[in-house]
Amino acid sequence: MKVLTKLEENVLLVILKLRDNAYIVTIKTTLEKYLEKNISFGALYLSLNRLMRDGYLRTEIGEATSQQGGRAKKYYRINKEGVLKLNEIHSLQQKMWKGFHQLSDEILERG
Amino acid sequence: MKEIRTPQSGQKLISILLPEPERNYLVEGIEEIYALKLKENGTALAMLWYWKEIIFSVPFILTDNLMWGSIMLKNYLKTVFRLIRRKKLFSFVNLLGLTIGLTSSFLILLYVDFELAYDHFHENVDNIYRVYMHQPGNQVFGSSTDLWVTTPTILKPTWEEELPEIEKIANIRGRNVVFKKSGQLLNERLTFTDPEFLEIFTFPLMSGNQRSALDDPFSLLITQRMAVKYFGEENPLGKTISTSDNHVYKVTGMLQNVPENSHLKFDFLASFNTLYSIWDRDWKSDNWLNNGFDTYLTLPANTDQHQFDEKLRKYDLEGFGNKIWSFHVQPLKDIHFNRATGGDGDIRTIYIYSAIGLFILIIACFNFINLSTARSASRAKEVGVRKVVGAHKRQLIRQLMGESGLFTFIALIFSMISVLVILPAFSSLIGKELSADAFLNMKLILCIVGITLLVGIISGSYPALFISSFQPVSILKGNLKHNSKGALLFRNALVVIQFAISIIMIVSTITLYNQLNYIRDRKLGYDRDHIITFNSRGIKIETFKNELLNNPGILKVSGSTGLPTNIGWSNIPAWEGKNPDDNPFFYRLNVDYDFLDIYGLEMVKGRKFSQELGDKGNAYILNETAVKRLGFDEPIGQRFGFWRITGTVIGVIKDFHFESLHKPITPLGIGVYDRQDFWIVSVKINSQNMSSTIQYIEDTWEKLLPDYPFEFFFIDERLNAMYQSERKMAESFNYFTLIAIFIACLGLFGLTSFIAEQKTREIGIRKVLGASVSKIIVMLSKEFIRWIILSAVIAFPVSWYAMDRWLQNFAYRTNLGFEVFTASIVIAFLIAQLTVSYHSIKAATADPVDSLKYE
Repeated sequence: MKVLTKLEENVLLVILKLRDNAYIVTIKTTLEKYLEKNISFGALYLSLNRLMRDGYLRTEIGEATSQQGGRAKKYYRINKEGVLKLNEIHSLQQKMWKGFHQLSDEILERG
Repeated sequence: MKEIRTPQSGQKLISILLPEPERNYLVEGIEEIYALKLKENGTALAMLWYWKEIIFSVPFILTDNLMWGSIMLKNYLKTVFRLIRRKKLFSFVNLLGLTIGLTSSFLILLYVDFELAYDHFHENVDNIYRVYMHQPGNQVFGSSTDLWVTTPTILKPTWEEELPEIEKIANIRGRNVVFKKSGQLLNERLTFTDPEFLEIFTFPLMSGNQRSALDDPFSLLITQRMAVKYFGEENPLGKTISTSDNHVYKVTGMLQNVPENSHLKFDFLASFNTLYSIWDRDWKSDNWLNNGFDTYLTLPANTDQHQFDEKLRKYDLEGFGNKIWSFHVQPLKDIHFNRATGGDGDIRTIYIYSAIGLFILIIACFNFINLSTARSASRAKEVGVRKVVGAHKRQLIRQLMGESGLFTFIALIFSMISVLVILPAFSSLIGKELSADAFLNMKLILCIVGITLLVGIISGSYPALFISSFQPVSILKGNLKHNSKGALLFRNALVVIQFAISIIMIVSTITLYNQLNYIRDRKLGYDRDHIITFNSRGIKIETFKNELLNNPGILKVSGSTGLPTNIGWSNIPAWEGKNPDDNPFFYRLNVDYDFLDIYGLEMVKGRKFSQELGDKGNAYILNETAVKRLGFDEPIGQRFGFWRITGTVIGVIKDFHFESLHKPITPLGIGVYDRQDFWIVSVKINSQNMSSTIQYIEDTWEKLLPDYPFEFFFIDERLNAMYQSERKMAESFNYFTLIAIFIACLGLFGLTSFIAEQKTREIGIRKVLGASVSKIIVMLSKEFIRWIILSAVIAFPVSWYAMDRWLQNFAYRTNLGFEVFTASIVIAFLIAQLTVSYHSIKAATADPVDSLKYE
C-alpha cells in the first residue's frame, strides 16, 4: 500500500473540495489558506506529479480564456482511486483519533 | 487585460529545469498570483514573493526530475538487460570486443605512462640537471657516442665557488664491493654520494636522519629491500656490514625502494667521505683530467638552460686548434630518452605501442558500430513503437547512446579486472615492472575515463543516429529499408579499415620475426657455444689456466681485454704513410695466444699469433674492414700500432660482428700480450657434464681468490640480451596482432550474420531454382574477398613504409619481400573466410521452405 505524505493527502483533499476549479493557482491558494503557511510551487508541483504517477489524479486541459493571456489551464481531477485512498486514510485516522477528546479532557482537567 | 510579465531570469531558471509543456502551467500559475500580489502589495513585495517562490521551488523540481530520470533509466536498463538476455551471442561478442579493446589499450597506457614518467617522481624534477661533457671524437667505451656523463673530480668544488646560480650540486660514483653476511660473500654495488644528493632528489628515508646520514665516512643508507635481505625483520639502524677487504659500514638510515622508473638505480648509498678515506685523497687538489664522477645539480626555477650552458663555455678546453671538451647540462626529464648519453628509453617504441593501442581501440569501436547497426533490424520494431507512442528523435538518440555507454561501462569494469589479472604477465612480456598502483594516479584515471567516454560516444553515435532515424510508418508496415546504399557502404568501409589495420599488424609481426630470425641465423663470425666468461678480478690467469686445464671438461682458457660481443675500447691507430689529419677511431683488443682459437676466428691472410716468434707487443692482426680503411693492398708486413707505430701486421681475420647488428662492422686491431692481468677470462668447456665442470671452475676460483664470489655468464646469453628490446617487441606484437585480428573477426562475424539474414529470401529462391550449397557459399564469400583485397591495397603501402623505416635501424637486415605481403594477405583471407563460413554455411544449408515462409 502506498503511503501518502501529509502534503499529498492535503492536496488530494483540496482538489476534491475545489471540484471543477482545481488548477495550480487555486490549489496553492486554498492550501495556504487552510494550512496557514506558504506552500511553494515546486513542492506543490512535486506532490501533484507523484499523485498523478500513482493514478490518484488525472488532468484535463481547460478551454483557453482571455484571462490567461489566451492559453489553456491544466485542471486536476480526482480519480476513483484517489477518493478510495482518501476514504482509507479517513477511516484509519478516525480509528486513531477515537476517544481522543475524552482522554485529552481527562488530562487537561486534572491540571 | 495588460499582460504582466515576471522577471526573465526566474523564468529562465525554471525553463532549464522543466520540459516545455509542464513549464507553462507552472510559470503561468506563478504569474497569476504575482499579478495579484502586484496589485495588492506593490512591486517590491511582489518581487520578494516571486523570488522566494522560485528559490523554494527549485529543490522540489530537481527531486521530481531525478525521480522521473530514474524511472526512465530503469526502463532503459531493463531494455538493455533484456537485449543482453535475448541476443546472447550478439551481446557477448560486442562486450568481448570492447573489453579486449579497452584492456589492451589500458595496458599500453600503463606502459606508456611508466616510460614517460621516468624520473618524474622527484619533487624538484624540473630544476634538476645532469652535467655531461662533449669530447669530440673520443668515444665512450662500447658505444658510438662522444658525450660523457662522467665529469672531472674537480668540477664540483670549482663550480660551487664560481657559479653562484647553482643551488645544490652532488657527485655520485659507483663501486663494487663484496659484503660479508654470516659467512656468505655477496657482490653488491655501492653508490657513493654527497649529502646534497638527498636534497636534490626525492628518495625518502624511512628511518634515520636525512641531514647527517651521509656525513661520516662509512655511513651507509640501505633500501628497504636490502634491509630485509641483510637484517630480516630487525631494525637496520646502527647495524654494521663489513666487506671482504675489512671496511666496516654503519647503517645510518633506511631508504624506500627506488622506483622502477628511475634512471638512478641503487640499493646502497654510501657517504662520499668514505672514498676520501679509502683512497686517502682530496679532490680539491685534482686537475681537470681526472674524470670519474657523475654530477647532478639544481638550478633556480625558470632558469634558461641555454643561458646557463653559455656560462659553461669558460670551462671549455681547446688544444691544437681543436675543441677537446666542453661542458653541458641536460634536464633530468630528458635523461631516459636520450640515447646519446646512455638513456635506455626509446621514444620510438613508445610511439609504436601507442599506435597499436589506438589501432586496437579503433577496431573495437568499429566493431561495436558494425554489430549494433547490423542488429538494427531487430531493434526497428521497438523504435517504431517508441516513436508512435511519442518519443522524440532526441530521446531515442539519448536512449541508444545510453545503451552504448552502458555497454562500454560494463566493458570498462571487465577490462579493469582483466588488467589487474594480466598485468604481471604483461610486465614480464615487455620486461618492465609495471604496477597497478599507477591507476591511483589522477592523470591516468582521467585518461581511462576519457578513453571510455570516447569509445562509448564514437561507437554509440552512428548506430544511434541510424536507428533513431527510421520512419515509424515504414517500420510498422514491415517494409523497412535499412539496407540503404549509404549505410551499407559505411559499414563496408569500417570492415575494410579494420582489416587494413589487421593486415598492417600481420605484416609488421612477420617482418619483426623475420628480422629476429635473420639475426639469430646470421653467421656472426665467431663461436659462441659453451663459452663462459667472467671478470678476472685480478686473478693470476696463468696459474688459474694451468689449474683449469687439468680438468678434461675444460677445453681452452683465454684472457683478453674484451669479448667478441663487446670490445669496448677504441683508439686512434698509427701506420706508415698516415696523413696527420686522418684520425679514425679503431676498436682495439688485446688478447693472449689462445683467444683466436677459443672463438674460432677465421684468418683470411697471414698467420695467427705465436709465442715462439716473439709476437708479444709488436704483432697485429686486423679485420678486413680495417685493412680496407687503411687502404693496404698487401697488409702483411705493414707497420702499424696505436697512437704510434709499435709493430707490424702479421695477419688479417675475416670480419665478425662484435657489435649488435644495428651497427655496421667497424675497423678492429688485435694485439697480443701474455700479461697476467687481462680483465676478462673466457673458458670453453665440453658440452657434457657442464654443471660439474662449472663447479670445478668455481672451486678453483675460490682456492685462488677467496675474497670474490665467482660470477659468470654464457656468451650466447649475453648475445641474446643484445636484441632483448626487439624480442620483447616481437612477442608483444604477436599478442596485439592476434587481438586486433580477433576483434576484427568479431566484427566480420556480426556483419556476415546480418547479410545472411538479409539474403535469406534470395538464398531460398536460388535453392528452389537449383543452386547448390557450394555455389551459395561462394556467392556469400565473394563479397568478403573484395573487401580483403581492398584492405590489402590500403595496408600494403602503409606497412611497407613503416617496416622499411624500422628496418633502417639495423645495419644488417632481412629484405622486406613480396612473400611477406603474400603471406599476410593469405592469413587475413583465411581467417576472414573461416569467420564468414559459419554463417554462410548455415544460410546455405537452411531449408528453403523455412526461409521462404519467413514472409
